Amino acid sequence: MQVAPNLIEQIAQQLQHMTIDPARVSELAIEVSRLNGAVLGAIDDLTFDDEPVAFRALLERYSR
Amino acid sequence: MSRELALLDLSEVAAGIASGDISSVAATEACLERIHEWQPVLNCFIRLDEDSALRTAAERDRELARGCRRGCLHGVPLAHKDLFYREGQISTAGSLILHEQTARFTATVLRRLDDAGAVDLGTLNMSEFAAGPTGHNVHFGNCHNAFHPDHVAGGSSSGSAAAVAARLVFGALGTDTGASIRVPAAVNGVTGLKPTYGRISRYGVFPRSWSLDHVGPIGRTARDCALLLQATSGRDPHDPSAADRLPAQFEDAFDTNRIDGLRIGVPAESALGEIHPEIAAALLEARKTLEKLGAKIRTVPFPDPKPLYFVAETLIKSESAAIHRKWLNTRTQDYAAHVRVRIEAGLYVPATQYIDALRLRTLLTERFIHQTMAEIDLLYLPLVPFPVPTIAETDVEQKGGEEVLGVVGRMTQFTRPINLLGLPALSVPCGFCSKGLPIAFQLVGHPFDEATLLRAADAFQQVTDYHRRVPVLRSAPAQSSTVAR
Repeated sequence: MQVAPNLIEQIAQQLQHMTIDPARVSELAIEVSRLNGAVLGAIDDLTFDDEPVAFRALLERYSR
Repeated sequence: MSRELALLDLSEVAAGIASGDISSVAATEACLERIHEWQPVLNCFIRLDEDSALRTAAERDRELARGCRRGCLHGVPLAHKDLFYREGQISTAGSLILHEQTARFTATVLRRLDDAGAVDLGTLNMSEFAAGPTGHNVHFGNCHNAFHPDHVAGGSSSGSAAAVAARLVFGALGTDTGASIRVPAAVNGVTGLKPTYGRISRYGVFPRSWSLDHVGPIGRTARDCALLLQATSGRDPHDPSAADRLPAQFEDAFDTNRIDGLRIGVPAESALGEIHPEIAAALLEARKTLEKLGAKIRTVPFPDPKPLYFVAETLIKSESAAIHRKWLNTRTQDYAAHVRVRIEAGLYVPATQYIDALRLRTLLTERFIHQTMAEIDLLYLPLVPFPVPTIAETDVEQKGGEEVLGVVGRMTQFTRPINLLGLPALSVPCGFCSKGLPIAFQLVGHPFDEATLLRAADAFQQVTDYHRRVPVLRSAPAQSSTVAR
């Protein structure tokens, strides 16, 4: 789903308390849609047990 | 004599100093002589600490005369990307924003290099805030490729790779968040190691992305990288991501300089997408060389790299936005536009998506180890899949546009996914294109198995001479810019 440019504008103003270059709003909407879609497209494989900090332990577990 | 000294490898000069055949002062003067010749062309250095380097070198010689050898790098002149803090000195991170900011403490890696006896020649050019794989920098001037100054030096550790390639320093540290050691090393014909995530401390290193930043060495050879890794690795209570491991030891790795039976995986051509014919030919030739040395080559499954790439991008942008939020609001004009746009999107990624990207990292890495790495010791991949582009062709700030962004994006297509996986990866020179610019392949290893990576690269370098080719000094390009402070 495409993120609406006015959502980017509102997040900038209301959540980040930042001004945003109007010329960037549409570009950012496209970029955020792409990143958002990539993550959402992959999360079905995650379970409750997949912790965000498990990565280092994984490297140790498979170390040679 | 001094010119010949500068052409030695790091391991050769370290051995020469240790045996008393070479003085640290002579080695340092040899580097300085070349720096003065090459700096106007390459623009590698942001700051040159000539007097303090000579003082340190003289002290190292006096120590050795007293029978005191600090460590494996005693008396060896080095310089590093300008984002490693040294107390009381400025680390610009290639930016205008930090160009007057003095560090309050010294990075663990610099302390370890001091303890190992290294001589610090100064700080090296880089992409602003380590953002960008080409080496463009609007504040300090672009860094230029050591083999042809019209071409990119790669980024973000541009100065580190170009300086090592031009024989201005014997080795250098860089950082790698998506490509920033391996791409500059590849395009300058030197050897660059991104170690396993956590192998080398990040404490005192200006961050691009805490989750994906890796500190690593750039040297002329795999053996040089091994010495630098040995001197800088190990546990660090200041860095929460540092692995609880002793410093890596590689003395034995090169004793048995054979790769008989080593299992090297190669993805099917169809899984890699478009590779320029000159690059493909060099990669095939290098693969055959590894095979002749005894490696067993086999085809392995290779996942679609896009999910790895975009999950990595989500992490980089989210973390970068957190790092830069204050300045993005108050000092917008002090960023190059092409750097600012690499960061901004992170301000709009929901926290849940960022957390899920972290969770996906573990899942995708485990899957990659099972599906791609399980039956092999090393994975063989392209690095930059086309000949080294020119500075003009990749100038996002001046030219922009989809075509330029496409070229820049493709420079990291085989490196950024490996940062997400945290696996060690090495850039190894393996040829030159018809324009005389370097070509490299990439080896990827199992977690904390840098020794196998370096052993394979060393075996390759014992029978090839791509890493030995010394660039010829050309005249400075019209846009060549600054002189080191």
